[in-house]
Amino acid sequence: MLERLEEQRHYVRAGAEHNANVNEVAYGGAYASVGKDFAFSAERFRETFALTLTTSDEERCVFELEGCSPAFANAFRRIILSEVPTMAIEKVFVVNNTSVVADEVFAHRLGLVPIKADPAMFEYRGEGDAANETNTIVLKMHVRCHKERNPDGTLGEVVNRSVYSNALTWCPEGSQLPEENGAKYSDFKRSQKEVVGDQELGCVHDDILLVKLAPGQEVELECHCVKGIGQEHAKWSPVGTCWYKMVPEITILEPITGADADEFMKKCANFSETHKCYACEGKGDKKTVKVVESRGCDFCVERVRELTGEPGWADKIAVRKRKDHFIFTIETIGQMAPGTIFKEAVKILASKAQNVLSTL
Amino acid sequence: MDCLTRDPSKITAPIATLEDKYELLPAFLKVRGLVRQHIDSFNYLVNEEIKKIIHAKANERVTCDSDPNFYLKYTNIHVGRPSVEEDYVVEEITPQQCRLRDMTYAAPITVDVEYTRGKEIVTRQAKNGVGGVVIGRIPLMLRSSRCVLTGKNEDELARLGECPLDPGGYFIVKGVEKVILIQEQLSKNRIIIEVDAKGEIGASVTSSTHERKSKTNIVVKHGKFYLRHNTFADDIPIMIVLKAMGLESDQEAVQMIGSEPAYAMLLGPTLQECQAAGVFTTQQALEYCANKVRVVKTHMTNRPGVRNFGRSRVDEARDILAGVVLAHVPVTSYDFRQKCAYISIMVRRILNAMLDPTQIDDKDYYGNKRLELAGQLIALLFEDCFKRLNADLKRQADAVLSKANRATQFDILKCIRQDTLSNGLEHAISSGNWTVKRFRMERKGVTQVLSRLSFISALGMMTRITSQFEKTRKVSGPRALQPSQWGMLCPSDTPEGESCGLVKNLALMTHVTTDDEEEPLRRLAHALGVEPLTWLNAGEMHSPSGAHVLMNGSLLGVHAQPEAFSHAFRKLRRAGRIGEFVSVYTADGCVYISSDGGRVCRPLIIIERGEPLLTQEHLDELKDGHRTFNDFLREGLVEYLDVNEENNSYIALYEDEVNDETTHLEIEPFTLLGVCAGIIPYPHHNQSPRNTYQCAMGKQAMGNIAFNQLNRMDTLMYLLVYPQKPIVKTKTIELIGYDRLGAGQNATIAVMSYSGYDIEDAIVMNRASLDRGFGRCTVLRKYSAQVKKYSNRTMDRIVGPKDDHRANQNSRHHLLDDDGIAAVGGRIKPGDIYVNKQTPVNTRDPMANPHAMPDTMYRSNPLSYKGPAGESAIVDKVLLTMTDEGQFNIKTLVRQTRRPEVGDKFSSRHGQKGVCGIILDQEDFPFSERGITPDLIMNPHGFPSRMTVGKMIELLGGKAGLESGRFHDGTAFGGDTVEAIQQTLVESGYSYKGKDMLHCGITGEALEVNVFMGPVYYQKLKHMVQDKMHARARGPRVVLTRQPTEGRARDGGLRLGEMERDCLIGYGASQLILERLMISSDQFEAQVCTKCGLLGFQHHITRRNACTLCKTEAEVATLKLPYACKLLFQELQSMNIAPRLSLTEA
Repeated sequence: MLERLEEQRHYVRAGAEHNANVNEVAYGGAYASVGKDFAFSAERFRETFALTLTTSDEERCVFELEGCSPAFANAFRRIILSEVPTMAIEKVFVVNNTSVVADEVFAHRLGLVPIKADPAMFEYRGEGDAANETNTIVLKMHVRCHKERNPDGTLGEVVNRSVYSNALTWCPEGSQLPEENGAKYSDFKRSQKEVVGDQELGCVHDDILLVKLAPGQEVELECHCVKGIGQEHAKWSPVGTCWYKMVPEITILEPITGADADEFMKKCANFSETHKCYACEGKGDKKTVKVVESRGCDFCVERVRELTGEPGWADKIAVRKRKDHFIFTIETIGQMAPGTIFKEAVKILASKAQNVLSTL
Repeated sequence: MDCLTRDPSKITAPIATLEDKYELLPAFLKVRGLVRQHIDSFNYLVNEEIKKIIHAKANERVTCDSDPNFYLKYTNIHVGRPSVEEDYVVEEITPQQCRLRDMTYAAPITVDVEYTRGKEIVTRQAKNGVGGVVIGRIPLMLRSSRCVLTGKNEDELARLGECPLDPGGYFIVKGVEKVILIQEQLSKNRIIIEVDAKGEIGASVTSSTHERKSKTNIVVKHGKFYLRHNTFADDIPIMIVLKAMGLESDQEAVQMIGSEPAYAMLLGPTLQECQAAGVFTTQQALEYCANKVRVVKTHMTNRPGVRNFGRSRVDEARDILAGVVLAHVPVTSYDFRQKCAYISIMVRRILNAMLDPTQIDDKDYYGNKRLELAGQLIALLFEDCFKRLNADLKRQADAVLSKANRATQFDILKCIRQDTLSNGLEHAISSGNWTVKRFRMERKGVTQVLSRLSFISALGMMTRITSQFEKTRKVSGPRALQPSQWGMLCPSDTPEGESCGLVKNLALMTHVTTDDEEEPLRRLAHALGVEPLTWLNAGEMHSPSGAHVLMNGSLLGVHAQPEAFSHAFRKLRRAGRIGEFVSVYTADGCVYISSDGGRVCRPLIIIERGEPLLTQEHLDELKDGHRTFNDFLREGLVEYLDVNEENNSYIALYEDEVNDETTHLEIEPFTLLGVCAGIIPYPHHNQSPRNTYQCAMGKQAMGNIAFNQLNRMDTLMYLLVYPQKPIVKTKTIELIGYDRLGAGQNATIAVMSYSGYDIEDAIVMNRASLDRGFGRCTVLRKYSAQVKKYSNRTMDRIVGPKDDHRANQNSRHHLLDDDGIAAVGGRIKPGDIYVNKQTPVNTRDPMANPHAMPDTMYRSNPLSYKGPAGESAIVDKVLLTMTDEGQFNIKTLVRQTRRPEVGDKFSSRHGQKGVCGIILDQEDFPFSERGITPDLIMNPHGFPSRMTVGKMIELLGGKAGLESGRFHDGTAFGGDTVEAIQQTLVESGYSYKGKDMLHCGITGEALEVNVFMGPVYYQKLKHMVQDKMHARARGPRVVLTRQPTEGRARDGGLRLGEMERDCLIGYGASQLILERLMISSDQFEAQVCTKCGLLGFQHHITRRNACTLCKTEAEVATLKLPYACKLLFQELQSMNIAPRLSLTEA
């Protein structure tokens, strides 16, 4: 009895057609009848919670969260997607655009270009605020596609046929557009270099195709980047995507022997040379399947799950996924390290919690 | 048994499979193009038919009644290159120029003539292919033989501003692209056996010659045969007709029809009637006919050359029988033998049908249909205009030459007015009204504006066929899909609603024939042993083994061995000795040879002795480019079959179905679908109406229109910002170039219920996807302004704004440049002026100095932008141009970029449309274990009743395509198999079912069921809420009824209709009805005289009520009634009906 409850509490049973026990039992008294109290306690959380880094590089990091509820992991996911601030191009001042791409489409494309700048160094720019060195990054671009003139006067190669994101250059002194109607487009008190130190601001990637030009076409514009969050527009989201999955466990409920073992190996194990999640022991009728890697790999988990749907197999094997153990992946778009993003998310969650506490 | 006698080595040999048989299709389309039928038809007109028209007897010479020596003779005719004459300089024009400058893409028609000028004979001959005299201009079909675009490669086309994927086949008239739709008709000059309303069997023939169209019926009444024709007031017994045609002997007549006892029995009453009428000789018969001739005030035979005086009524009757009845059967010097034979065959076929009802023809059978294309239709019109031109010339010659003294010599060439032809053709094409007087033909809606909503809509229009059938009639026969349409017409592509089944579309490989010369075929037939009728006596006409040979509906003669004859004829066609579109088929003891235009046909691979003639080597050579499709045609490996000849063939769908009787092999089964249905992946897995719905919706999908779309100036253009190639393609998609001009995006969809805002086909969209550009579109709208010139030499002018206007953003002039035209790139709001035009105050009286008038002589007449309030757009482009008539035009293109919003319509390629129900944040969306978040969520209830299994397979195929990095094939009746797709999915670690385990984005927990998720190609349809949403509280009213206006465009009210009213009545909410129907609509205070009951009035100053009739003020009451009611009373009064209101209390 208890064993079943334990499974219910900790695992999602991934069946062929149906996932059982998906819900998390958050109510502490849910198991009171069997004399158990699973109410959330900070101590227990501290005890059981663990964060293990699996892989990490500049753009992607995978880590495991253990000992927390899916709601907890999801909170991080949601915050990372939509509430961690970044800088992105918000305003585009088009001086000249003779390309085939319409101004507003071009502006939209520019908006999605990741901007390399630490958002912590900047402030949000409110409505009506003037653009200054602490809330706005000014980038400019002036590209003209033309045929190069050779020294002998003949026309040579066409240059700037494709315009990439490296055409955007940082203007630390603010807007370079002339005054219009007696007002400047930015109001920088000092050079932005003083704000950001020795960092060079610009685009994260140099090779994002922005527009293709034909000879004679020209694009001249200035972009103003501001700080924002993904909730307002996806361009401010610091990640391409960010998600988690539950850790799977392949359990053999009844020993799989003989012909069954052959079938199991055939269906779930022998698709690849490098696959070493299962092994067989013994020979003939005594052949038994042994799980080498209970987590399995992406390929075999799916195969085993399908197999459970076939007659006779449901009692023998099970694919279960842990409800309190997650593999969390952050794929950034480059301006912030995934670790930083996660830390930001933790801070935001903490401040939200603080907010709740203060209003209680 | 057959396999025992065959060559043993062949039995064991594997069945030859032609793997790349499909390669024939691109080869076919390469030589043919997608709209060859239109272009061929037009080329035939321009190169051949037009010559036939001017050389026709009635057209060739213009003579003059007053001067017998005078004549004008046309010796040749040429259609030149597309050009226009501007300022006396002839310049070649391109289609794109015409579109932008509102010109007509037309070429001059020139003729070579020989005519008399005074006493001398003058000839004007062609030089360098350009004829001597210009007689007018003919609009040219794009990509026809005279078009500048033919034979150009992609680069050259781009240089001309043309899209290489554009199929051509349409006209440009006054800057508007016009398509002449294919018209479907019952075939001409063919005997149709049908059952009339009374259940009697009859035969009818619609004869059509260049001069005349007439319908002849042979009907059965009480077992007796009659001829029925418009020119006769009464039905004439058939025996009398035959006697009038010189067939005096009853025995001969019966022999001609058929002397078998069964036939002779049925003919008895007919013979008796003739006897009873006392008609025995030709003379008597003619007199009988003459009595029945319908008396027409003007003589029917008022043709030039035929003198009417001194003609007896018998002569007239004989003329009618010779020239009007069955006009297509030639009668030379009153030798009626051919015609007698024809009538007897008609009677024989009725007799056949009486004995065997299966012999009754099916009118809907597609072999009995002919398609009329642009070339034929223009030929009709051209001949009509040409005749008018000639009549005009004759009248002028008559007028001038009848005068004795002339100052100068009469030169007929100076009288030629080019407008007759040019305007006649141009008007007909631009209005779609086809009026041909000599056939009393008046058709409307023959042409339509080429729809450029999407690439597919334009292409689909070129293959469209309209039927002459009335749309209002509730008949199912002509609307139903006929088995004979297999492979010729698309079974899916037809509109819903009133024109369902009447408007059809050609299948991918269908070709429509043009006329072929009859004379060589006739000689060939005789050479192959067809005995002409003149060699035979009546008794020899019907022999049990022999067969009649008919060519294009007229009787050629009799052949003893019809099978051998048709076989030989086909052999000659395969050898290329006769045209590839000539068809030969045998049916009910007749051999039919058809070479007429308008038959639908399609190519098939020939099979002889159980083996396809086309082998793998041939296909390899095709692939290497050593051969073309035409080579195969010439070598007799492939041939065209029309609907009738298909009935003589045994066509295998696939190689493994080939047996000894097989005569042909299908090239590719999916070609039975048209271009619109060809877009659908796995259509053979869908419920059939779903494919029909997609055919209609593909035409509304936004995407890329053409490569030159940004250089076009269309009134309305919808473009997708980021169109994509579909991951699941079909072969048709590659063939027509849909992969280069897509109209949709590959969206990852999850089939699940989410948020509740997805009921009734609504879809849930991911906001982050929209942020990243999914479904973004550009709407471009053209506004044009004309700068007119007036008769007093004044003209409109455009002036720049005053400086202070421009600085002020709120001024209506803020957008204007110095030249008075909106600046490109500026934001335009409703009310803003985009062309600041001024018009002269006086446009009639002569002015002293029309080009430098003072400002006071002009009044402002600006053009302002009228769009929905609160929405702005951007000026995209301004074009200043002049038409060939010197009309100055300013076209302003206004652009709006829109992102999808709640209420916008989307659809997959399986007739599954839905509106966006809600837009949710990405974090609220479910996500898979691989981190994939869907772009949109579709409710699973969309599947069970629609049964669009194709969509599910597309999803699987798309998902597998993403993993394997290639486009999957979903071609109809083929494509990648579900097993293969599932194999790919399993190999990449997905469930073979295509379902993924998802986590809820809101709670973070796993979902209880796995969700079917993957990419599906989604189209954004042109219906967007922004163009439709409308509400009003107060607003304009109609002047006449004072009720609120109707419709969004007029800021109209929302109607509380009958049904809503019924609800309120049923509920008893009387005050609400009163409020809705009167108080909030057209309440009016009326004065009614209690004495007379008529309407009175209220004095506008004294405010006293009065009745004019009773001359009283005291007894006039005031009451409220709907203004429409008061209007009704007054209108009734105006027709002498006096409605009186009797008031119980006043």
